[in-house]
Amino acid sequence: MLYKEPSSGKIIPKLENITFYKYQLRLLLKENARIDPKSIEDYISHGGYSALAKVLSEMSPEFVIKEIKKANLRGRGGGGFPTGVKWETTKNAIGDSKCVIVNCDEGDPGAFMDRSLIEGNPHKVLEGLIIGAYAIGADEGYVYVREEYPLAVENISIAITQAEECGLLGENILSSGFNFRVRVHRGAGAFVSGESSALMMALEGKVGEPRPKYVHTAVKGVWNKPSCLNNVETWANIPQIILKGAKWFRSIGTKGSSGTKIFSLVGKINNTGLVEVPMGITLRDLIYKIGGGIRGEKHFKAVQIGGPSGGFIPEKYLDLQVDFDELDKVGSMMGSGGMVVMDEDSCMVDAARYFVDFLLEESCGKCIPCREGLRVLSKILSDICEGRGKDGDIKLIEDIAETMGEVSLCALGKTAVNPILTSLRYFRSEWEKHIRDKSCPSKACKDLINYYIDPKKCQACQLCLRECPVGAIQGSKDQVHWIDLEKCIKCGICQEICNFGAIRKISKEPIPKNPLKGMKPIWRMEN
Amino acid sequence: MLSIKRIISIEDLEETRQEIRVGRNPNKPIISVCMGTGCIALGARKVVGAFKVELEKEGLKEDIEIKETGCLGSCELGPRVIIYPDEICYFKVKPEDIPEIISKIVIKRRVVERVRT
Repeated sequence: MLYKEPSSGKIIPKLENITFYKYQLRLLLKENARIDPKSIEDYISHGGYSALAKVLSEMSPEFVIKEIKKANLRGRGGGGFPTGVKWETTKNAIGDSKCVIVNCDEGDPGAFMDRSLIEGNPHKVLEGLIIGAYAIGADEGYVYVREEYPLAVENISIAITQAEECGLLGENILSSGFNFRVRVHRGAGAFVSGESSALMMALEGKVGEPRPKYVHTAVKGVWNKPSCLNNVETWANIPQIILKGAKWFRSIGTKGSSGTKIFSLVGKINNTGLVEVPMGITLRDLIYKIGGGIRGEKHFKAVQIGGPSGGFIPEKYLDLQVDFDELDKVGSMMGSGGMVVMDEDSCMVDAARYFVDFLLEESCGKCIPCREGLRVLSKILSDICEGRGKDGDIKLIEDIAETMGEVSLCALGKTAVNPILTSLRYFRSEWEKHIRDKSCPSKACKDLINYYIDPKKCQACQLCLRECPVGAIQGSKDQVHWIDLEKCIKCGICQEICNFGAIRKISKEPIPKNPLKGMKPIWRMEN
Repeated sequence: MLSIKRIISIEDLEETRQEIRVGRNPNKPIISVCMGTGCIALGARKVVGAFKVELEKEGLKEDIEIKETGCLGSCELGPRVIIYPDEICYFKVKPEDIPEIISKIVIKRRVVERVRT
């Protein structure tokens, strides 16, 4: 019901006072709570399509591009390439027919910004796309949405139909002589299809694999037409830049990165969800002010930004200003804006392994460095996490990473090594402990830990004994309990349900002897 | 079906906008229920259904508008309801809360002081 702030326990009824929202700058998301995404009337009544009207009545295509360039809008899909420059390239490319495309193939683990934007305000994205098409001189548009986002597919399809019925799409839009049509393409859900050339292959109905980009897709894209591909959030930024001007847009954010960015803030923090903040906000403000700090009084360890292409950022960079260039400097990247916060219980080697395994599944297998590199990396990482790490593993990982980073065909392979390299750069001692001591300092790698019941704390209540799914806990009503490590599958249920905090994980410490052996049953161990 | 006609020029767009705005009462209470994927998964459809039933029962269908909107971002706390014009937020709303919300807040413009953890 009413919102109760987790940190202070205060009840806050009004939206604007809730800390999670208070410190955000919601330029793109603010209308989401007021607009019915299935109603063009709602969008128009909130000032919708007035940017399109402004463009068609008083701005030449060249002037629109100039304005976008001046605003310094950079691609929100991750690369951060200047949008205006991209538009200009497609505009100047030779071709009778040109395309503009919305990239909504969002697939980073933990990221859902584009989804919410296109589900909640599809007309905003569409308006940006129409303006872009006018500026570039495109007559065809596509919205590439992944099939796993059924509501996004539904809402953008309805929006397109409504815009057609109202005459905002189709022939001679608003009597300006400008013709433009948009179609929705449902992606089959391959992560690599978010890459520009792979996406265009998929649009053509072929297997979504990237091609070498000696010639950019902006010049030769879908069906060899010059094609301008931008992320959902990039398109959604266009109407407000047109209405309020490039100067206004530049006044938000940092020198190199203007405007706001939506992040999906998830992981071990109190307030999870989508946050829209001006570029240049510090990680500390994001995590502690908006996110409400780490859950359960634990200690912050790292934040993973940019999904499988990004990197881990350690505590010493908490005051880093989040924008495209600053993230690059510390070995991460903006990505599409996934932000996973990790606490002291997260193992950085295991987390790197998770991303490598994700990419191994998603690699299209066309180029060898990515296909084979990821396979070998996954094998080495599994060995390290399972206690088979050897001297020289780190060197081998670094060699493979360097090769992959340089010679992979597309950004998937090139950036796949970022999670590993940043984990190695900032948490090397953890890697060394895994390899040399076969221990996991965060006690997260299952094969390197054991569960142990402290006989001094155990109250012999039999709760864990009854709940253990494999019957690995021995003891009885008057006898402290003990875990049979041969049977234990390390599921952690016993630790979760113990009311006395008697069960803990140990890694590399000698396993205490079975207190039952050679001892008479006792009521409980005396302190 | 669209309530607006085909827009053929820029002046026409502005006219349509004014028409829509004039037809709407800014003081009419709006119950905005998030229908993003997260809130739907947590039961937002049932909440909307319960609001409709309750408004019908109280004979308030014409006086209060239910709006199914997009996502505000706090998906973990869904289903999310905001009552305008006072902008009072409710999270983790269940169908059984609806009669109380309607009778107390929307009609008397008071706040239901309950917290669900």
